Amino acid sequence: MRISTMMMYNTLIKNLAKGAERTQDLQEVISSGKRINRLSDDPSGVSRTVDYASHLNKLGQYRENITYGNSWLSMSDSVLLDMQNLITEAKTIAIAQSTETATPETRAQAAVAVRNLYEQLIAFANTKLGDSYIFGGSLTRGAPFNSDGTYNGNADDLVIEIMEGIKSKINIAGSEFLITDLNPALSRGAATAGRTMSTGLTAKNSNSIAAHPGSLSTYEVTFVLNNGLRQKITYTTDDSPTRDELGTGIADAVNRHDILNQQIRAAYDPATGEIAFEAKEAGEGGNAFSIDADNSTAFEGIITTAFTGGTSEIDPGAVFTILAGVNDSFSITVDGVTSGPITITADAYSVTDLAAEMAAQINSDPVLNGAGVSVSVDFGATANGQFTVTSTSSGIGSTVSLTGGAQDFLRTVGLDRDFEIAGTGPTLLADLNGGSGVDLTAGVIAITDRAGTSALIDVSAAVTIEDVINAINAAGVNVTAGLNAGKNGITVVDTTGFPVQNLVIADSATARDLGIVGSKPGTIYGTDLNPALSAATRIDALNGGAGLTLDRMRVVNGPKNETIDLSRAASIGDVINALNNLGTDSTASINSSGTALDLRSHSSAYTAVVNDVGEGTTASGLGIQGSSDAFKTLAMLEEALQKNDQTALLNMLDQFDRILQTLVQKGSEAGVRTNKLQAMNNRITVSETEISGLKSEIEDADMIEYLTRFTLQRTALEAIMTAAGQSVQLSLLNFLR
Amino acid sequence: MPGLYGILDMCKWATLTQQANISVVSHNISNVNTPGYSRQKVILGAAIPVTTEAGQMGTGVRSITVQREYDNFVGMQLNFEKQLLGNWKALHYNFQRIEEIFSVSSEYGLNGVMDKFWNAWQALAANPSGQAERTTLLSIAETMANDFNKVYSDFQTLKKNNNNSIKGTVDSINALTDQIVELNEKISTVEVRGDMANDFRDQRDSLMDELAEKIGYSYLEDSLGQVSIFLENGNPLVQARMKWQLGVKVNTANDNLYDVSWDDGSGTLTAITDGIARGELSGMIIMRDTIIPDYLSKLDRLAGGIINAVNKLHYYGYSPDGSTENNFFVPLRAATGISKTNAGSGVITGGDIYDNTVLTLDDYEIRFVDAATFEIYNLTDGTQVMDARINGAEDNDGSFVYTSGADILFEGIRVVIADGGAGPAAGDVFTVSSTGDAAKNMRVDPAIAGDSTKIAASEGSSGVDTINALAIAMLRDGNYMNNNTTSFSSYYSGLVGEVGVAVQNASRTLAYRETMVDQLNTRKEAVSGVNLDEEAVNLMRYQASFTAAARMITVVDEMIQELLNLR
Repeated sequence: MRISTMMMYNTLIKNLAKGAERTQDLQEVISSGKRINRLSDDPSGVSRTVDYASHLNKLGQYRENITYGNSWLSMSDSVLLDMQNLITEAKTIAIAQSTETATPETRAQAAVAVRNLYEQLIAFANTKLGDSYIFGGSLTRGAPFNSDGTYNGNADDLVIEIMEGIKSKINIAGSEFLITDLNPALSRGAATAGRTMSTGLTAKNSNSIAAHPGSLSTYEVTFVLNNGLRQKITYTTDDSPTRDELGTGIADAVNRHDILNQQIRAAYDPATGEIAFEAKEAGEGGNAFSIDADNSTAFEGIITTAFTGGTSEIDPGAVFTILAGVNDSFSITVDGVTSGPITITADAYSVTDLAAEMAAQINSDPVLNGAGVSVSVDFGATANGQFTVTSTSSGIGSTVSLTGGAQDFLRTVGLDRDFEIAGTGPTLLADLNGGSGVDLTAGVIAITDRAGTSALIDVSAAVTIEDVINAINAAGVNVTAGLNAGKNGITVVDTTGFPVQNLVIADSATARDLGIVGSKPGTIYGTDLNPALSAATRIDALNGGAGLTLDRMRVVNGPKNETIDLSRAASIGDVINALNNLGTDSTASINSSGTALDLRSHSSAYTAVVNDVGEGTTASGLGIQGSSDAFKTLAMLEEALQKNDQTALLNMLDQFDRILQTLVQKGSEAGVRTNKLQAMNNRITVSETEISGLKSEIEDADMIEYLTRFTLQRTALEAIMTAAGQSVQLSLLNFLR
Repeated sequence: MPGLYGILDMCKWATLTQQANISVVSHNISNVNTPGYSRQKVILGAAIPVTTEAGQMGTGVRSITVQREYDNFVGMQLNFEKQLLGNWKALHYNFQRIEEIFSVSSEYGLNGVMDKFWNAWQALAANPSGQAERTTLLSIAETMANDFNKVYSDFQTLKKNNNNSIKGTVDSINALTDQIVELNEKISTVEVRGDMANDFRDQRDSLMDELAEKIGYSYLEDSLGQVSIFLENGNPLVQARMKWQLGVKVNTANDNLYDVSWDDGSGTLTAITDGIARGELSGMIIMRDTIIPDYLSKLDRLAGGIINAVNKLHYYGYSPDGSTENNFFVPLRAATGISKTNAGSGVITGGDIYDNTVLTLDDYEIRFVDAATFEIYNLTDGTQVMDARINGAEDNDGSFVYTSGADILFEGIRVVIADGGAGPAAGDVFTVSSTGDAAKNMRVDPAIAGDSTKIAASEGSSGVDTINALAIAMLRDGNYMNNNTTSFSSYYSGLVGEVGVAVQNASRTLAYRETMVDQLNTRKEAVSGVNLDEEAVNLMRYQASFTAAARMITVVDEMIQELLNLR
C-alpha cells in the first residue's frame, strides 16, 4: 500500500497521543491509589462499591448506636448496683432494729438514717447521662422522680437499631423496677353484673354449726380430718336440751376428744347460738377438716354447714334446715334499691332448692319489683360450692349487697355480706385523660369518610367508651371504630373501597378529648386516652390490658394479721372494699399519683404491712404498700422505725428481698443486653473488615502491578519517540544530491 | 513525414509536458500537509500521429488533463462513517458530562448524603431529647434535597447546552451548504469545459466530510460534477446550485426545546427532528430527548420514593410539641404531559396526588381509544389500570368514559382532562407521573425546615418516644423501589452502574467508530495522499525527461544549423 507522508506523521502523532494517554491513565491510578476513578472504569465494580460504601456507612452508624446504647446500659447497670447496696443497707437496718435489743431510741436514730437512704435512692433514680435522665422511660428531659417518690416518667422503651432489623432496648424505665404503675387500659368487654358471694377469704380452717336443739337424747357430729380419718363425738342428754346446753355440750365433747383436741378448738357463742370449730394450725392444708353432714344427721333440727377448710366450699349434698324465726330472714340491696325483709319459707332444702327459694323470695319483694330490679341465685355455677346472688342488670352501678336481717340465714348459706362484687362495664368516659374526662358539652363528632360521606355523631349522652365506639360504628359512614392494639386509644379504620380523600374527624372539644381528631389517608390512630385508675377500673384492664392475676395476700397491722383472697375481685373498687372490710384497722385507697393502691394504718402505733403469700404476686402486682416498690418500702421502714413497730419491721424483711431480687434481675437484663451489644459490635467489626476488603479489592489499585505497568508504558512511549525521531528523518530527499 | 520543425515542435510539447508534470509535482509537494488534498497527476497521451508513406508517425506527447487520485467508493464510505462518528462523538461527550454528574469519587455524592440522611434518623432515634440531633437531621435533609436539586439542574443544564448546540450546529450546517453550492457552481463551470476541477472538488469533499459529522445525509453527483445532498428523511439540502436552509423551531409540546426544521424555501419550517439518526445532531437530540429525560425520570423516582416513604410515616408521627400530620418533605405532585403527536385539542387542567398511600411511583399514559373513551396504562410495569373513579363514579372495566373537566382518579393520582377546543381525538396520549420533577422539587417541608422540633420522631401523641424516627431510619433497608423489590441504595447503585455501562459503551463505540474512520482514511490516503519520496522520484524522472527533450531540441537545432550551412 502507498503510504503518504501525511499519514506517516499522523500515525506517529496518534501513537504518541495514545502512549501519552495510557501513561496519563496509569499516572491517575497511581496518584489516586484507586483503580476506579470514573464510573466507566468499571461500572459493575462501581455499582458494588457504592453498595459497599453505603453498607459501611450503615455499619458505622450501628457502631455509634451501640456505643451510645452501651453508655446507657453500663450507666444503668452501675446505678442498679449502687441501689442494691443501698437496699441491702436498709435491710440490715431493718433486721437490726427488729430485734428485741433495739430500743425506741435506736429506732428513731435508724429512721434518720433511712430518710438519708431514701433521699439517696431518689438521687440514684434521677441519674443523668449527659443531658438525659436514664430512668424516665422516653421522658429523658425532666427528673423522673419527685422527692416523694412519685414518678414523672413513662414506661416507654428506648430502642436503637444495632444491626439490620435487630433492635435493642437500651433503657430501664423507673416504672419497671422502682414503682408500680397499674397502667389501666381501656376496656370494652361486656358488662358484668354485681353479685354477692362468699369472700373466699380464709384466715383459718374453720367450720361452724348453729346449735338448734331438737327433741333427741343423742346428738352426733362427725369430723373428717385431713388424713381421711373420721372422728365422731356424741352428746347425750336425757331431756330436750336448751340451745346453750347443746352448744356447750358439743364444744366440750370436741375439746375433750383425744384426737380432735389436738387439731381443733371448739367454742360455743351463746349470743349467736353458734358452735365454731377452728383449726389449731393456720394456713392452707394445715389441719384441714370438714364436718360430714350426712353422718351428723343425728342432729335433727340442727343446721349443719360444712365448709372445707381453706376453700370455703359447701358440700353440694348439704341439707339446709331453715327454721321460721331463727334463720329465715335477711334483706338485700340490689342496684341501690333496698328490699323489705325477705323471709325464706321454713323447710329442709337441698342446695338447688334453696337457691330457687332465695331467688323466688327476693324477686317477689314489692320494693324491688316496684323499682324493676331483680336477681338470680345459683349454687356452684359462679363459684364452686357457693351460693351466688347476682343482679340481673349489669354494668357499673349493678350491685348486690346483703344487709341486716337475720344474720343466721346468711351464715347458714355462707353468704358473706362483707364481700360484694360490684358490676363492671366498659371504661367510663369520666375516667379518660387522667380522670379529667371528656367534654361532652357540644357532644358531636363530625366525621367524613374517604368516600367523602359525612356524618355528625351525637355522643352527648355517652357514658362509656363503648357508647362512643358504637355510635361511630352506627353513623352510616365507611368506618369501623375500635380500640387500638395497646388498648389505650380509639382506632377509626376507614373501609371505603375506592377512597378519594382523607378520613377526616373535625376538631372539636369532644373529638379532641377522645383523641381522634385528624385527617389521615387511611386509619386514624387515636391518641393515648390515659384512663385513670378508679374504683370502676377492671382488674383485667390493668397493666395495659394484660390484666393482673389476684390471689391471696396478708395484711399485718400490729396485732391484726389477716389473709385476704382477692381472686374473685373484678374491679379495683372490689379490692378496696374487700381490704377495707377485712378488719385490719387500715384503709385502702388509690395512691396520690393514681398509679397503684395504698393501705394506711389507722393506728399511730403501727404500720400496716402487706406481704404476698408464698410466691404470689398479688400485693406487689397491686403495688399496695412496699412489696417491690423501693420508695414505699423505705418510707414504710422509716415510719415503722418512728412508730417503734417491731411487728412491722419483722414483717417487711421479705419486701427487701423482693426489691433486691428485682434490682439484680434488672441488672442482669442490662448485662445481657450489654453482651448482646458487644457481640453485635464484634460482628460489625468483622463485617466492616470483610466489606472494606471487598471494596478495596474492587476500587483500590495494586500499586506494584500499576507501577510495573507504568514503567513498561514509559518504556513503550520512549520507544515510540525514538522511532518517531528516526523515521521522520528518513527520507529519500536526504539521499539525493 | 514530419520535418525537422515537426520534431522541434514535438520537443516543445515534450518540454512543456514535463514542465506540467513538474508543476503538478511541485503542487503535490506544496500541498503535502493540506488536509483533504488529493494527489494530482498529469495524464499524458501520445499526440495524434500523422500518416506518412512509412506509415503512421507519432507527433510526441500531450498532457491530456490533470487528474486527482481519488477513490470515490472509499470517499463515500468515509462520508457515511463520519456521520456515524459524529453521532457517537456527541453522545460520548454528553455521557462524560453525565458521568461527572454522578461522580462517586467524593463521598458527597448522592449515595453519601442519603446514607447520612438515614444515619441522622438513627441518631435521633437513639437520643429523643437531643436538639442537636434534630438540627443535624434537618440540615442533612436539606443537603440531600439540595443535592437532588443540583443533580437535576446539572442534567437540565446539560439538556439546555445540547439544545443550544443543536441551534449552533444547524447554523454551521447552513454555512456549509452555502459553500457547497458555491463550489458546485465553480466545479460545473470548470468541468463543463471538460477539465477537472480537482482542487474545488477536494475543497467540496472536505466540506461534505465536515457536514457528515453534523448530520446524516446521502448524496449523488450529476454529469456536471455538481452534488445533490438529501437528508435522511429525503428532504433535499442541496441540489446542484439550489440550496435549502435548516432552522430551529420552538416546540411547545417538548418543553419549549428546539425542533430541527427544514425550510421549504418559502420560510415555512417543517420539523425533521425525528428523522435525524446520524451526525452529531442525532447524538444531541437523542441525549436531549431520550437519555437525559430517562436518567431524570429514574432520579425522580428515587427522590419520589424517598419523599413518599418518609412522608407516609412522618405524617402519622408526633413531634414533642404535639403537632402531627406534617409532611417531612414537600409532598409529591403529579407531573402531566401531552404527547407531541396528539391530533386532538385536549388539555390537562389539573393533576395532583390525593392519596400517597396507594401511590406506585410509576408513570402512566392515558390513551384515547376514541374521542369519548380512554384507557389508562402503567408504563413502568406495562399493565393496564382497571380501576378508576371518573367524575365520582367508580369504574372497574379498564375502559373509561371521557367527560371534559371530570376528575379522573386512579392509584392515588387525580388528573383532569378538558376539551380545550374540539376535545381529544382517538389515539391521543396524555402522560401522568407521580414522581415527575420530584428531584427538582425535593425540599424539606417549610413547616419542618422552619422548626426542627416539628420533626415527628414519635408514635405517641406525647411526642417523647422515638418509635417513628426508628421506623423512618429503617426505611433504608426496606424495599420501596421497583415495585417494592429494591432498596433505595440498591436502586441508586444500580443507576450509577447503568450510567457507568453507558459511558463505557459510548467510549468503546466511539473508539470503534474512530478506528473505522482511520482505516478508511488510510485507504483514502493510500490513493490520494502525497508521498514526498514518490514525488522526489517523479521529480527526478520528469527532470530527466525534460533534460532529454531539451537535448533533443539541441540536436534538432544542430541539425537545422547543418542544413543552413549547406551552400
